[in-house]
Amino acid sequence: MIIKAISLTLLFYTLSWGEIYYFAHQERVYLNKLKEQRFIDDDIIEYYENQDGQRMGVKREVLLKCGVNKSCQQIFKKYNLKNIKNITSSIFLITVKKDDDVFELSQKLYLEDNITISHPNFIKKYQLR
Amino acid sequence: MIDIFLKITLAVLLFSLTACNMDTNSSYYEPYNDNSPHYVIKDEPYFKYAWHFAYNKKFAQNYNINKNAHIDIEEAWEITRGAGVVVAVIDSGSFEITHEDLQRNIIDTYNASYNNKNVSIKYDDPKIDGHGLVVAGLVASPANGKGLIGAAPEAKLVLIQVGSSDEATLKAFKYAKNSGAKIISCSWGTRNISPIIESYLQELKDRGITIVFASGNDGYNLDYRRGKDISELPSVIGVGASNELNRQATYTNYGKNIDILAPGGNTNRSRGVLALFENNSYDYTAGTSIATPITAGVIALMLSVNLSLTPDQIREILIQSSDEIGRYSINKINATNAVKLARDY
Repeated sequence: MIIKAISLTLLFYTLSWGEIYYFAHQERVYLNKLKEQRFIDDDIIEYYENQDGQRMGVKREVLLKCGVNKSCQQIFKKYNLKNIKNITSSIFLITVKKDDDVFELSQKLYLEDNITISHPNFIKKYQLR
Repeated sequence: MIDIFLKITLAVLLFSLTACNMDTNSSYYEPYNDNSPHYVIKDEPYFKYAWHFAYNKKFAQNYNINKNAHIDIEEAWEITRGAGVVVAVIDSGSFEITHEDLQRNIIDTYNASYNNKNVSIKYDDPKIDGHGLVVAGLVASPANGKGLIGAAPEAKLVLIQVGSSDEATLKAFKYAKNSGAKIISCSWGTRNISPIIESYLQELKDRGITIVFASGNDGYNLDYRRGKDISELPSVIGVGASNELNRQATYTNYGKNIDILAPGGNTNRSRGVLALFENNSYDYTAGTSIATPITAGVIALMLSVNLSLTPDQIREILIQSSDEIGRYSINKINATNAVKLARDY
């Protein structure tokens, strides 16, 4: 009876995190959406927290890194990505179209062969030490 | 008549230009015209309070400071003062670039959030305002007969104000790299590291740039915390704090991935570390934020005598040349030993 209750609680807890996630080191990092929203320069920043309770804002942008000596241009074409900014020679910032979901796009891009890292452009609070 | 009119116009123009340059509240970086005389360390009026650098018997006795609490840097300064090395300081707190004891060594500034040169933005929060100034001064406050001195008083500084987005963080580190900095000093941190930032820090290390991060002031053994702190990454040198008793400070975070200790002072004000404060002032402060730029300055001294050192070699030398002080097997930096070992490496 106790085991069943624990299992149900764990199941409920897992489901409550939903499918909002990004990839880090080939693992899914699940996030929980918070009610908080902020507006910066006509852009809505939505806030999430991870399973360690760490808060982060999400802009409608994806940061991705292409593998060494790989080109990501075909992938940009495949997903019809137009608003692309070079941050470094292999790191790109993509502005996500209004109808697209920033997490869904970053997940799809991560699964492409030539892309090694892909996640939303997070806003995080750094701690002065 | 026209001649007199022209002369007056020119005089007014020259006066306006001079007045602009004298505006000490200017928040934009302007190159400093360095034709000042060469000062020596004994000309620095507050050097006697710098227990983190050298032993001063009278001051140490008055404030119960251990005679070995310093990092043994005076002999290192006889070998080098960091000339020819550029250190980037990335900080989210504001810098006061016109401070009398900093301006001379600043060669560039950059605000990664706004993509401009203004790094003196105020937040009306005493915990943030001036933080960048404090740390930059501990790296490379010059020997100029004013205030105090940084660990590498002849190194040059690139001051970068970081933003909170991953994009702004990447831009801050990229700017540091492009500015020619061989060392990046970061007195801030997070346990919530985005993969793209972690990857870029590794890329910078692979390009020969040494990045130092403060371990934090919670007193935690990081080995038992969930997740990873940015100061524990293999691509960076993690710095904890020692105190005026020559012990590991009680507030410092530590663990097997924290590489070295440097003086961070005591939270009891008069036993903190003397640093630059806003409006051309000086005050005591404490934290791993303080230990980190001191370490960055010592690394600048090391690179000044041997520019070919890699970040891994620098870590190895810092540890090998350090002094044993604590019970947690993290040693304290010894600047003279480190510079000598770097020179002969």
